[in-house]
Order: sequence, then structure tokens, then C-alpha cells
Amino acid sequence: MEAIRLPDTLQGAIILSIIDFFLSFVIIAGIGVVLSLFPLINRIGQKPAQPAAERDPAPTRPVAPDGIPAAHLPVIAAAVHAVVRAGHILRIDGPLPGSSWADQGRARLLAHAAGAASRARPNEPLAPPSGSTDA
Amino acid sequence: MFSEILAFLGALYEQTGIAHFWWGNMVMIAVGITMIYLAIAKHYEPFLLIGIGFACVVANVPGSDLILPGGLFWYAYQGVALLIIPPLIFLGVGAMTDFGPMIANPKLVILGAGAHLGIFVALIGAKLLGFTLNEAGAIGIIGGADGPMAIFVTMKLAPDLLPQISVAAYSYMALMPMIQPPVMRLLTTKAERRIQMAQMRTVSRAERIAFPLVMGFIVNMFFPPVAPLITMLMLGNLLREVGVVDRLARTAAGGLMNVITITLTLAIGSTMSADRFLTVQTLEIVALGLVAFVFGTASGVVTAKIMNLFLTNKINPLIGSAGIASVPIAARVSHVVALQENRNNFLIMHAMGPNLAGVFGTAISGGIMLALLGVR
Repeated sequence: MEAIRLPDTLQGAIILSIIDFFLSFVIIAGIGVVLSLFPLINRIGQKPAQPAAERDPAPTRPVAPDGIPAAHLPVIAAAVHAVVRAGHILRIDGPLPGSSWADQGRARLLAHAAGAASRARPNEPLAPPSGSTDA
Repeated sequence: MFSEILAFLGALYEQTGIAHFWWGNMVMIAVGITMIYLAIAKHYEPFLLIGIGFACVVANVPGSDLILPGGLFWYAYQGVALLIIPPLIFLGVGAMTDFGPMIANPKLVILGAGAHLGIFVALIGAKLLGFTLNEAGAIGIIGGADGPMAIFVTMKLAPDLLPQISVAAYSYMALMPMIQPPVMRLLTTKAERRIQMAQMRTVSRAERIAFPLVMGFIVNMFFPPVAPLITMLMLGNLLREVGVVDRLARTAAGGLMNVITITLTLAIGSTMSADRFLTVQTLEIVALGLVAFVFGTASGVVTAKIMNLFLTNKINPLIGSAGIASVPIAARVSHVVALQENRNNFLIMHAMGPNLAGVFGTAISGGIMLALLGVR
């Protein structure tokens, strides 16, 4: 079969340009479609999600009334005792509500007081505990 | 005896460069020094312009053996002529490039085709100026703004034009920070230039590893004429992404790339001798190259604006011009122009998507061109 050759004329240049430009668009668009399928690669090797009825019941852990796991309580208590030298932990709250500058300022003051307490010598008076940890 | 001494001195004088020095050499030496100045003072692609400028100066000192057959610059040029250097450049580029932005936002790859109108404007312009169709195709590929691809396609279509085309391509790529911004500002409003784009999704390691394999397959399957370049680009990227051959990736992107860059710039600069370069044909090619870059930039921006008509999350049209290729220069230009409008608008990663797609766009255009012209 004889190969079709473009004429070496202005018309040939225009034909070449039109075919090349639009074919490039089509092929690049095709590459875009292939790339849009790439997130499917991330599913390879993942286990299919089990139906809810077949799932093992979630292990129940003792949780403190404030939503803090019971296992974390002694760790938190030890950390508080080490920092503010509190005698008894009565209550542990979650993070400070809100993110206003006032709350952030309080949090910073508390951290400063706690830091000062941890650096204090044993006989020095401690900064009064304040904030969310009552001792 | 006195006449013999004069004859010997005359012969000695003939062997020096002074006897063959003409104003053309002066002009080209000035061009070389200007390139070096732009690299040092303006930081316009110093990695390219220092070597090209220096070799241009040396090539225009008559009598320099470096550019003659057997000289070091001549051997450097053989690496270009035998198509050894362009694929190795692509290997290094692949090892340096994060294709994540292109994978993360597939719809932007269309800009990689949209920004190549310049190729065809230059092609038709070259034909109007009397070049053959093969020569016109080689001149048009300057608009792809991809140096190795321009060299590759030119060696296939019109090897005689390699010095002019490679110099035009690399010079304009280096000068993109001057060429593109006026066109970009002309075609966009202030509000469009201030558009901030949403954060891209994270691309997983598995996707990054799959990308070079998939693209290597596609290009070899559909575009064998330009496959050597893209295949090496993808190999370099695979070395980078697998994470188990860091030493090879570092070599490809570092030491090897530096050696190849020095060789390439010396090879290109050494072809800029005045007797070969100061011709009407060169001026025509240089002018067509500028036309190609301007139209490529413009068509990329316009394509992005057309896309915005259909998209709910608008894209900043400035990233359209990055589709012209020239990684990462064009993406950097988009970023800088956007930053001048809004100091908090960081477009670089968004612009890298179309910028990388532009490399594939140039390869596809070149591959189709070679196929239509019956060249392999």
C-alpha cells in the first residue's frame, strides 16, 4: 500500500497543523482520563469493608464520664502530680472550649504556671493551680 | 633573507585568529557576552546561558581548535547530533521531577495541548517564508519550548537547521520571564490573575510508581518516533519514586545531569559561529521562534479561560501559559505573575501540572508530526 504523503505546500502545512493540533488535544484528553482513574490504584490490596452484621463487636473499654479512656487516667494523674504537685485529682476535663484569643491566653498562662511549678524547688510555695484541673 | 623572515611572519599571522576576524565575529561575541550578563545580572537560566554564551564567544574567535573536527566542543556536538544527549537530559529531568501535581489534577493536562498553538503558527509562517515542510515542522517545534525535544525532532526532519533551532529554543526558554508576562497580562483581567485555587489532593506512592510505567507504555505504544525521550523521562522518574535506588536517582538528577548540561550548552554555543549564524535564514528562524512562544503562551491562557466557562471551581488562567512546557521555567513565570497581583497566591504547584503536561503535549505534537511526514 502506498503511503499518503503531505504535499510540500502551504496547504500541506495547514493540513498538518490542523490534524496535529486537534489530535494532540484528543490524546492529551485521553491521558487526562487515564490519570483520573489513578485513585483506583489506591484500592488495590485493600480489604473490602465487612457488612455491619458480620463485624466483631468493638472492644469495650472502660471510659471515664468525660470521655477519657480509663487507662489514661492514671497517666494523666501522674503527669499532673509531677507538674503541679497536686494531692488528689478530683476531676479531669477535656481541652479548653473555644479557640478565642482569650482562651489561648488562659491556656498559655496555665502552661506558664505549670512550668514554673515544675521548676520550683520543693520548699518553695507553688503557684496556685487553676484552670481545668482541680486539685 | 629579510623577505624570508617576512614570509614566515606572514604565514604565522595567517595562522592566528586576527587575520580572519571580521565584524560578524564581533557581533556574535557581543551576543555571547550578553547571554553571560543576563545569566549573572538577571539570573535568566544561568545553567544554560553561561555555557552557551561562553562557547559562543570561543566559537567566534577565529582559529579556535575547540570547534573544529577533533576539538572538544566538536565532540560535545556529536552527542547532540547522534541523539545521545537529549534522552539523557530527559533521564535527569525525570529523576528531578515530581509528577504529583499532574496526577492530582488530571483536568489541567488539557492545557498541555492548548498551549501549543504556537507550534503550528510558526510552522505555517515558516512555510510562507519558503522553508520546506520538513524544515517548517522543525522550526515549529521551537514553540514546544522543550529543548531536547526540539533537538530530537530537528535531527529527524532538518538536521542542517539544528544550530539555529537549538539556539532559538534554548534562548527563548531562558528568556521566558521576559516574553511571557506581557502576553499573560494582556489576556487576563486583574480579577482573573488574583484567583486562588483549591489545595490539590495528596498523591499516593503507588500512584507515583504507576505513573511512569503507564505513561511509558502509552508513549511507546502510540508514539514510537518520540518514545526514546519520554521513555527516559519515565525511567528517571521511576528511579526517583520507587525509593529503593536513591543512589541512582541522585546520580541521574545530580552528577549526570550536570555533566550533560555542560556538554549540551557547550555543544549548542559552539554552533553559533558568525559565518554560520549571521544569515537571513537564522533571523527568520529566530523571529518565528518568538512568534511561536508568544502564540503558545497566548493559546494556553485562552484555553484556561475557556475551561473556566465550564468549571465550578475556577482555575487561575495564568497557569495556562505554563502548558507550553519548558519545565519548570514557565510554571515559575505563572507563579511570579500571580504573586505580583496577590502576595498570598502561590500558584507554583498548580502551574506544574500543565507545565508537565506540556512536555507530553510537545512529545505528542512532535510524534504526530514525524508520523504525518513519514519520518521515523
